[in-house]
Amino acid sequence: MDIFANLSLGFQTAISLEGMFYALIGTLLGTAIGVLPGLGPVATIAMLLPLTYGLQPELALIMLAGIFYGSQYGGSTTSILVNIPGESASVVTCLDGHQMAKQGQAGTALATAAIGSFFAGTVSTFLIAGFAPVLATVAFQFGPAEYFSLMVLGLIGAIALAHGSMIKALGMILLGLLLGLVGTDVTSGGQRYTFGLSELFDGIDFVAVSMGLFGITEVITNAGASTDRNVLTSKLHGLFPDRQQLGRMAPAILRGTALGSFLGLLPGGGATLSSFTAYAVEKKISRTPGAFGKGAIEGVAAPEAANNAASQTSFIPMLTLGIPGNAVMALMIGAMMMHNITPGPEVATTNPRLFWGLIVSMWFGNLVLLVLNLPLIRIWIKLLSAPYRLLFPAIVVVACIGVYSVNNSTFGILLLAAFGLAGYLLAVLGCEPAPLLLGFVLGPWMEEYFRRAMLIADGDFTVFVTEPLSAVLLALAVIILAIFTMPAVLRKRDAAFVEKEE
Amino acid sequence: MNIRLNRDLVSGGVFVAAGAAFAVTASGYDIGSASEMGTGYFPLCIGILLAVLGVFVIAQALRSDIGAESVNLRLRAVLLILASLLAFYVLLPILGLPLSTFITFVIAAKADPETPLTQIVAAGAGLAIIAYLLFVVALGLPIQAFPALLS
Amino acid sequence: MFTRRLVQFAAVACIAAASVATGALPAQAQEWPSKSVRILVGANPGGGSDTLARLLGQAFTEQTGQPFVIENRPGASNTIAADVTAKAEKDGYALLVAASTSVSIAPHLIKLGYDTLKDLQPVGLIALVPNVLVINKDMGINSVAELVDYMKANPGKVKYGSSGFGSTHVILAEQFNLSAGVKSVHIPYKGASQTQIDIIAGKIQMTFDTVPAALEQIKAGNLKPLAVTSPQRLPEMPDVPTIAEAGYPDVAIQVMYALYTTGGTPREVVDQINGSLNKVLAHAPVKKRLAEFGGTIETMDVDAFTAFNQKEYDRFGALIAKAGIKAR
Repeated sequence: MDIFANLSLGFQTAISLEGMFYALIGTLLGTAIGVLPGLGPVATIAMLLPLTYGLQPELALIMLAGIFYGSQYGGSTTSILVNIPGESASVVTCLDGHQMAKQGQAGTALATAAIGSFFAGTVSTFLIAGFAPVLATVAFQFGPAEYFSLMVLGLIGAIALAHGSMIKALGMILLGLLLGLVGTDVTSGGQRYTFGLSELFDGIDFVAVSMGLFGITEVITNAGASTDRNVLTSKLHGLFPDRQQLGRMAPAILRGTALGSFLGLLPGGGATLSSFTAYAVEKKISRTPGAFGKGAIEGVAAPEAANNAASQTSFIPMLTLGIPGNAVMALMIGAMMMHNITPGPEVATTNPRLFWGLIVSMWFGNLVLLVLNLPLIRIWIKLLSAPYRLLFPAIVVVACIGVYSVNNSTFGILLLAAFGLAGYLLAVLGCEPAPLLLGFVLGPWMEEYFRRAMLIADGDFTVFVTEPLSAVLLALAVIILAIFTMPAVLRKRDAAFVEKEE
Repeated sequence: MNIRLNRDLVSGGVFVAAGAAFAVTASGYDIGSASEMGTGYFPLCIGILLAVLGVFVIAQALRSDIGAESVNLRLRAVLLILASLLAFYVLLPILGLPLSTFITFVIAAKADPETPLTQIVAAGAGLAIIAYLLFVVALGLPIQAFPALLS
Repeated sequence: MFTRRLVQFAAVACIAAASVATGALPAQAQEWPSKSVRILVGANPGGGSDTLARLLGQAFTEQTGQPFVIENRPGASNTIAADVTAKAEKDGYALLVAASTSVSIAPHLIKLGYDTLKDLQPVGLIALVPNVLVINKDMGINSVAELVDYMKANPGKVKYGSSGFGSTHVILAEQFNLSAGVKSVHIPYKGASQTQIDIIAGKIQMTFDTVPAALEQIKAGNLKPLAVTSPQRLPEMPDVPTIAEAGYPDVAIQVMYALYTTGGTPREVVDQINGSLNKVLAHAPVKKRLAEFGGTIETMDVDAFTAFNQKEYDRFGALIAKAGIKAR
């Protein structure tokens, strides 16, 4: 089998002393910067990119892959510990990860995230090594109509992110969609809802919205509340998941990996859908859906695995087709071009050492992450032993700095305040922020694909059902919606999903 | 502060208002047609959808027997946290990072009335130093470090 | 959003990296640049002007010892980056790598918050890059003439992809429609890579893409080239005729890539940047890469380029009026 020869070439490249050194440095730096709220993988990679200019191309990419995984895991750490998500994948991790932290299980949540990521990374590395060229063709099956239907399916699934009223979650999704449309229209160049504010021409900044709705809202809700949250660290459970938790997380990791590996292949936004689709699936098939949003370990394991698998398989369209699926991939292409390598259909044959070295280093980066972070967890949870009355104002300050650093403009802080207030008022009304954020992320994509599909079909709405793949996706969406809304089922769902008002 | 509030009724109202606001604004943009959609087409549709959904939420709330509940609006926390954010917004360009950090920290910390001031000041000063070392010195973010008047 | 942050951090890190990695290179004793320079690009990473800007940025960095940082600001027919440049400090530290799209086309189509001819100071021409007419490879069409026949037999059935309203893709395709007397439907995309996926998958049929953006897919046999818009055939694809040979000389439009800075920047600084640019363009590796693009390098001094810029501006204005392209 070729694959073994190829992998061994890759191992020779990556598992050299130098390769390991740069993977380690990359992962370490990535984690260190990624834990700072507001500095997600894209910012971290961009920041550290110049460090790699002087390296050989293989080593540069190995280091960048390490930075990528490190910063992603760093983002999850922040989400779990202090509930300030800096990117859409972390939003999902917040839901149950932070609840676990509140229950004294921060260590377990962090370990679960690390283990889930490592497993997913291992599986998807083998997928890339063995089947990259075949899998790449999946991208061509998805045209505008299919992407639109996929987004609809994802949004309907997003209802599962809420543990309260289904219909209000739907409203929050729509509100998020509308907020996502603020800014410049790609097709016509027209301005929408910007009211002449040039800061809004590029749209509302995601970091300000998510930190406002999650971090600031939570601070307002808990600051000075009679129940001091120090209970959360009064008794720390063991770091590692116990046998019962392992039993719950293992299948969740498997499902998350499968789902994420597939969605990552779709360059038009598939990877973004992965973490919350995995969450929705877990909640859907769980026998105790009521536990989600209250610290269910599956709710951490599956999305983390899915996210890591997707970010790994999103390398496939880039490496085999030269088509960047997301901002991170675009940056990687930029990095490759700096070294005079043009990624494209031929890079695996013209530069096998680099291609396979990168693939092996992906796996190695995941391994380093696991080895590095399990001991670090003890240090992270020390952070939580700070009394909450001093922790919450620090969260406010860090959120401010994080939002400022996105655009180096104080305008983001106004947005942070606005969305913090709005998030609090909506929370009072029993409306949850997670569906809104997903609508916010997917809204612009949905519109783009919708308009493009309609143009290609000459304004014929039936295109969404006459394209077979699109029809299947929409049918799934309708079935899920029907399950929610059919009165008989609704009653059952009410019993299972809706929390008792406290 | 405690108020009585029918959550679903008000939520529905918020959805109707937001949906209508977006839809009305969108109607001022180029709408176009189904085959050639203009700038306003998509937001108009979604806005109307949200408003309709809001009406549905209101109807459901009126039929439901939950009615108004007592809700504790945490006015002190809301005002102080917002004030701390606005303080950072205003002060950062004037005073630079460490001082703004300190002031924001102190205002925000007062949201918990029982924290002793000495503790707040000590922790705030510590955080200001850490913020300076981490973001300005170590990471080199282009962020103003000291009061504008000094430089 | 992220792109700005990206660049600002990259800038900072660059300074650190430059002091380590390029510590051997002494900073040149000239006034400009004395600190890091932003190079703004109006398109997503991976497109033509982005590739070019990265190439230049790296060469500038090596030449001057100062970090040159790429800042992608996509949107609004690539004019957002131009807008940022036009409104930057008038000190020559915000450069714009622009293609014809934002400086020769957009001003005729959309209302801008700046005056292209006044608020953007032309620095120098970088290259003229040809376009290539590519189609889906399974259409059974092998020449421009066959394509025209097909389009005449099936009016409106052929869809062409573009990188958005007002991109060169649109101008070329509309001019082609006009010259050949055919009709095709415009499908806007956010960038060349998405367009390519949909052509390869057969969702849409054709586009006029720049040669560097399409070359890898052409080489791999995923896209079929029918004609190039350069005056001569390209060495990379000697079998592909020029569009003039195919009978449509009006469509022989090349994309101009050029460097601009903020209007009102002192003339000495502009001249210095121009000098730096021309030195970089004379650099062998850069020349080689640009040649791979099928682009012809033309260096001009500031006055010559200012005149050239004006000429292109007027030419596209006339073309747009003739093709009847209008903002809605």
